[in-house]
Amino acid sequence: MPTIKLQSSDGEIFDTDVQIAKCSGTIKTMLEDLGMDEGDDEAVPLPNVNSAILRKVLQWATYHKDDPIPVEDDDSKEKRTDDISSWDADFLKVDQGTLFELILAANYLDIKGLLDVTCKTVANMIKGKTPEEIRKTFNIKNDFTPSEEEQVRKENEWCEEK
Amino acid sequence: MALIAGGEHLGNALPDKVLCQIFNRLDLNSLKSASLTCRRWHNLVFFSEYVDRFRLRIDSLYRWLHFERAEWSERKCQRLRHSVAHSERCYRHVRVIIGEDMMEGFQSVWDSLVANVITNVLSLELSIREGSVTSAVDAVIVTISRMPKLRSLSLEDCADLHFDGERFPPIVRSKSIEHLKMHTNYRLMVDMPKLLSFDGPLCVLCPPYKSPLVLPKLQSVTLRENDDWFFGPPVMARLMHVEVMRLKYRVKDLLFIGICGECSALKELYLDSGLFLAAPGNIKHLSQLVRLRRLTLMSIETKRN
Repeated sequence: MPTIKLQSSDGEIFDTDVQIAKCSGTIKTMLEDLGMDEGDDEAVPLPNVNSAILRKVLQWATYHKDDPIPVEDDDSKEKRTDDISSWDADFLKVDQGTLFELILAANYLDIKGLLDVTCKTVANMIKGKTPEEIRKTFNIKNDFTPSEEEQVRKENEWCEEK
Repeated sequence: MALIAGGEHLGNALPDKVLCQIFNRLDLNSLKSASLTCRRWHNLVFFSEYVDRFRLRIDSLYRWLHFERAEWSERKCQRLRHSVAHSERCYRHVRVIIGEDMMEGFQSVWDSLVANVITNVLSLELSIREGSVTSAVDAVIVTISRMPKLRSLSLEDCADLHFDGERFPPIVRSKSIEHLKMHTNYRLMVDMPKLLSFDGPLCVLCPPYKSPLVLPKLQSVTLRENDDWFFGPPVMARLMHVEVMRLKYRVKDLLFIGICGECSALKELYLDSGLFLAAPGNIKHLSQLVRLRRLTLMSIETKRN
């Protein structure tokens, strides 16, 4: 099975199945643009992903390697968040820092399926909570003045879904 | 947490694009809560392309008073005016629901809205809940020419309302409106050179001047009311580029002949409620529509001798 080498930000080399590596749009483009080939000894540098996260990402990509390519859907509509598979749910039982790093890695590596399921997980952490609860969950600092916050609250009353 | 810079809180760690993907997964109420957590999230929801998901709804205060009928009091009016006047959100879609209960003070609310948020508006929907609110509708209508980006305008009655039929309908001028929908008895006349589609009664398309103001882009027309006494050469001249026409009422000889004779660009004609010809021979006029590719005729009736 053809493999390529991926190098994480902290210098670790991952020998990876080409098919699995190519579920990342970024790596796929790099391979094509740089004319890198299978069996090439040169490693593909991934300066934005550390080894711990890259290991997780590759674990996810290996499990999902036979998934159909996800279709682009309409961005303006509210999407489902209750359709996370149990494998993914288990996979994403990680601390918040790791979850956010996985999102950033999925975004950087352009892995739609992983970005999708991690965003769903964060959305589920927001749903049904009050602003104060959301701040607490994500350690967000409230930088509104009380009167600004009141204005936002008032204006939100006049706002409805299109 | 290597990627999350020290001192920065988690809410800031994600780029805008990713945050928007998360917001896309939220229902309206959760999203409103999210917008209240911090400035960055609020600005992302209401000051980016993302605002397309919402519309501003101006309504009497029914909704949040547990459906008890609340009168449109001066105090409530002030509250709305205050919230609108301080708004910096660039709403692109606005819906106004006009009822008798908001007659008092509506003008001032609308004025502050126009001053603040209306320049970005792409679509405006006016629903008229009760009759005798002509002046409130007028207040909105006269400001339309000041909405440089408005592309879609829709007016509808919740019931079959009565408006003063005697008065001369106001002329609505807009260089940007592409879609006009009029499911109402309120009447206006249009000077909209960019108009692409129209849905409403034929009389609305009557040109406001002696010489017809051309509607060169008008391609799709749905006519809803049997008001073909408005039919005449000036109206038909405005329909000469129409390619798709749908009539929701029973069409009679005069209008049928007019369409066949003038709407030479017509490719599709749908007569959803059929055709009534006093003189059966008039059907021959159809052959004038040389570009017609599709014709739906629910029924044809003719006069018995």
